[in-house]
Amino acid sequence: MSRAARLAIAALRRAAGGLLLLVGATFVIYITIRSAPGDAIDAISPMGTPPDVKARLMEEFGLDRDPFTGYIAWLMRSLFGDFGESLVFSPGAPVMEVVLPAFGRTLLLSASALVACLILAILAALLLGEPSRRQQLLTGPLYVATAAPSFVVAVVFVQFVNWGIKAFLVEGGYVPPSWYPLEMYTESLVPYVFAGLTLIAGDGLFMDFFNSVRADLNALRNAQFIAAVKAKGARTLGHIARNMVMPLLSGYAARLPIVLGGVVIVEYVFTLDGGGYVLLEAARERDFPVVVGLSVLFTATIIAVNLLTDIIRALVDPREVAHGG
Amino acid sequence: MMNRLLSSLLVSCVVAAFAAPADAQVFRYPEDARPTSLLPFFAEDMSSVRMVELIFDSLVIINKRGDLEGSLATSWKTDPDNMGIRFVLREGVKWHDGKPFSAEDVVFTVQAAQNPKTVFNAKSKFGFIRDVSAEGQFGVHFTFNRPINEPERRFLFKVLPKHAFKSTRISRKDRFGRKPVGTGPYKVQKFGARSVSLEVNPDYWAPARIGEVLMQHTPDKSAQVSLLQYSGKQAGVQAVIFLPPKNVPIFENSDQVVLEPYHTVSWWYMAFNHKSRGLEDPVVRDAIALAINREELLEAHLGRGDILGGPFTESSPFYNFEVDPREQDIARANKMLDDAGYKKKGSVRRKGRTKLQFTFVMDKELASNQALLLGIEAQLKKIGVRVKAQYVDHARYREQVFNRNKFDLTLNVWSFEEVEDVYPLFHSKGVMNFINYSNKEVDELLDTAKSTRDYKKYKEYMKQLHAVLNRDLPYYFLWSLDVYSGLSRQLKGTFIQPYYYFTSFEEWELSP
Amino acid sequence: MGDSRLRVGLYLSGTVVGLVLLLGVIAPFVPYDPADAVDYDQLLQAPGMGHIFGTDGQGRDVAMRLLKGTEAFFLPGLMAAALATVFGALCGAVSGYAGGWLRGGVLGTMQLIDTLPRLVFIILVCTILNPSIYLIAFVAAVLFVPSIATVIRRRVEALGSEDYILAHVAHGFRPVRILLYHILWLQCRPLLIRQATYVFGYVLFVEVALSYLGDYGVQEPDPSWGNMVAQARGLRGVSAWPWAVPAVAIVVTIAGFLAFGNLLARADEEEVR
Repeated sequence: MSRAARLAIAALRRAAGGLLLLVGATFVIYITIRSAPGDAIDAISPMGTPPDVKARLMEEFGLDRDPFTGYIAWLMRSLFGDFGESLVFSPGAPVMEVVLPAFGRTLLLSASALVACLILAILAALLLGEPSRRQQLLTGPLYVATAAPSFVVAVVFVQFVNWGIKAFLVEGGYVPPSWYPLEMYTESLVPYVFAGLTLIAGDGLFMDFFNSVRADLNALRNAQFIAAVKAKGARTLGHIARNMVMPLLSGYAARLPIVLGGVVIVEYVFTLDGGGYVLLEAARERDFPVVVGLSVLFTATIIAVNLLTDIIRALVDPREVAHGG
Repeated sequence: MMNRLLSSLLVSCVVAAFAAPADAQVFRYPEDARPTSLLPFFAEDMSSVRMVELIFDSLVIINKRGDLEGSLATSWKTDPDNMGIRFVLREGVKWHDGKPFSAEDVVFTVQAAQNPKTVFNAKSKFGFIRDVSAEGQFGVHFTFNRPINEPERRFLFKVLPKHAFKSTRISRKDRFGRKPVGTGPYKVQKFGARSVSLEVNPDYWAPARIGEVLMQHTPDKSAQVSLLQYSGKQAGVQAVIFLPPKNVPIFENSDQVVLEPYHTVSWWYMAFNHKSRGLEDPVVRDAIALAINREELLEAHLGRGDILGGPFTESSPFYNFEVDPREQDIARANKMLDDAGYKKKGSVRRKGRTKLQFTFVMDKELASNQALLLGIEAQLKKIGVRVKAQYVDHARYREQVFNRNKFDLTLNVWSFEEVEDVYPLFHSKGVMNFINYSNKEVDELLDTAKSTRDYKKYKEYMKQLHAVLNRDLPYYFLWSLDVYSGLSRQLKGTFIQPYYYFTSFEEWELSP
Repeated sequence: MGDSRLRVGLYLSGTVVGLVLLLGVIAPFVPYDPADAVDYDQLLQAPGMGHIFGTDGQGRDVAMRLLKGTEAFFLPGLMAAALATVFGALCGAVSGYAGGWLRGGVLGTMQLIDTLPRLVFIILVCTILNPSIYLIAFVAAVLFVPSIATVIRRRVEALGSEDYILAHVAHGFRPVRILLYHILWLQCRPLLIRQATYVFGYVLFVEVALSYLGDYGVQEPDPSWGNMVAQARGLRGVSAWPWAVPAVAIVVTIAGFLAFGNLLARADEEEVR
């Protein structure tokens, strides 16, 4: 069999596995949510609603079925892209219509933060090179800084902006400080910039990337095959880059769940209307279809990224195909 | 110097590309909660009620002076036997989608509300109507179940467009709740996740002056206050509906913000679960009431207001001023408990198997909930009554306290649209009697009051009820608050309608 | 890394860990009533005598709340670390050593749990069930089982084919004993230490994050480092102490535990060799 064919088969098998995982994960999420003691009906029906009226509402919202049959029905419908309708958050609206735009913003925010972080980490690693003695002294404090959870970083940012430089950053808006000389037209972007910076600095994201990039760079510089390549007169950078792709990719994939968790909190602190906001708000209102839909999106993203990583890894490194599957 | 000028020019050019069109005529205001539905039947929370006021019209409204005024109706005439009423409707009114408004829409609204399969809170408000019929395009006649004095006051409900619905069975899930079509001064432009924007309806018979309204969901009260302080800036807001009391002084002499009272008929109470062991004993309830210093709690955590003796506000016609509200008296409370046989063991009083230790359930969305509970806890400790605090989120609160009655003590607010109807709260068969309260005397009073047609007598019964409830304490009635809105001084011609808030919003102006 | 630097790091992080453990052990025995702590005459005091970290917006002593705040994560953290490590090690060992459907089943379950977005799932569980820190700790432990299991499984797979294990098998040692003692205890100890401290740090992180969000973690007036940081929003820049002190405590504690786990594991590895 040709390599391409084997690759394709491996990729298909991975994809099937991923889909199976997704189904399993949605089952866990759906059952968890439906096991709630009280449900959306109690949260929205007025006090003293007669039982027969409640029963009618239950039926209307599809909560009268037991969780397992409910799940099967939900799964069947969602296979065709119908994730049900929102109960409270946006009554009657198809879940994906509510959830997708918000989740898109979240994804955009996390993705740009990850990319920016990677670029920054590579630049920093190239600039700083091998750690000198003086830099080694800094390791301790830097290590402590990597442990700062993103929401702590966010709180520090907000406090610094609002009370340190006397600007105003709250509720998805921004007002520049009175001493700021220039006319500003991009106020609405500022909270996103800060949120991105928070994601980069928080949860040790930047330091992790930086450390791994630097370690890889140093290892590669000293590696023998580079010397061989150099002897052949080829350019070293391309080879280094290719050999760095894989660890970085794995790092990315492993990082994504943490960033997606952090982004929920960061959105809350900066009050951005992304998936995190919708998730917390819908959970507060017990809007189960929206919560399930959103959780599925979060999970699907993680699975998809893992899948993609595997495939790229297989493309870059032929040995992976043999191992994979 | 030149260099800096140049670079700043350059920067402005670059960022100008991102610039949104500057529009000074946007009125922004924050709400604590997202509106749940803009379909008037299901607009049950205050944030929806206020917004519905901008989008829909009713046959009549209550104007600034408190008098009834025509809105969708231009005139009306009560039948001689008070068994019906005939409205003449305004001609030339258009729905937001361009379709003409007619009597059929009014008939449809009533039929939809009365359809048993349309389930909503205020359904009982339509109960008095026996029949409704259109008389031509602009006339509508209602007949009632029984004779009613001043029936026109009952026609404050919003009118729905018949053509937007398939049947009179209207579901809470109807998309109309997010994309409403009304006849009001504003139409919905976008219902976003965190914000709702409205644009002015140019076809309205008295077009509003402000071009756009933007509601943004801002749960954090202190953020709302900050936003009001930036009312002139792009991110700022021009009004805060409820100013937190501790922030009212900030604006007392402000040249940017005026304080306007926002009247709602609402009062605060502490509820006892009458099925809880210990709380069924009136002595214990009385002692708890005596231990609490309402003035102190009110002033420290909520600001100004009136201390109440019964289930009505002081402005209510039913308030019985002959009943003196209790004053804090720890010594008496202790003596009462001693006499009744509740002896202190450790820090808690007991009598037999009854231990005066209670679970106090608190809704986390209630203003100052924590501070209030801490204060009450400290005061009750002095009479050997201990409380275990349980803070729950709003959805769980409704489920746990209102629907499953799992609590000993709780604290909350009732808000009433106009006049307090306390029958559902205290009658043993009342639908909102979540405290398991049952008192024969109270039941009789409420039943006779309900069946009476004489308003004077009704008032007397209510005053009697006030006295009985103050003695028997189904709730401990706490206070009603003076509530202030903060309005930017950029606004002119403002008037805040009691309860509905935005009824006369079309007269508001916003200067840049 | 030089031996001396490893030792310095170990001492430093060990001090942090020791201090947190000490605080966590004594905190339950310090009497504290949130209702009595409020003191309106002492709002937002700067650090000084009597209040070493000052007081917060309700006049409560920040140092005291910091101490009592350890209760919120200490026991749950230990519990979660123990649970996750034990189950992670077992699952890892079983899937690495056994074969057939058992291996497949464990691997599948692990993979399934691993795809759930952790924080999102914890928030979900907390909305549904009555939020309590023990529930959070339990869910966190379950969510961490796969990552521990994976690390252990790789190690066990690598070891399984090595000669001296095969030699043990040949000598007739029972497989369970080989697995538990020779492989898990002797060979995987450093890995387990590292993972256990990591889980503890994560529980602290989740606890503070959820308490910060307000609806899920420890509720005011009970102190938690997370709801102390959340006070920042209401303070409007008047005083930074009430939120900065717990924020620093959070960062230092998480860093301390992670570093201690890493360094201890490294020291142990060197010893094993």
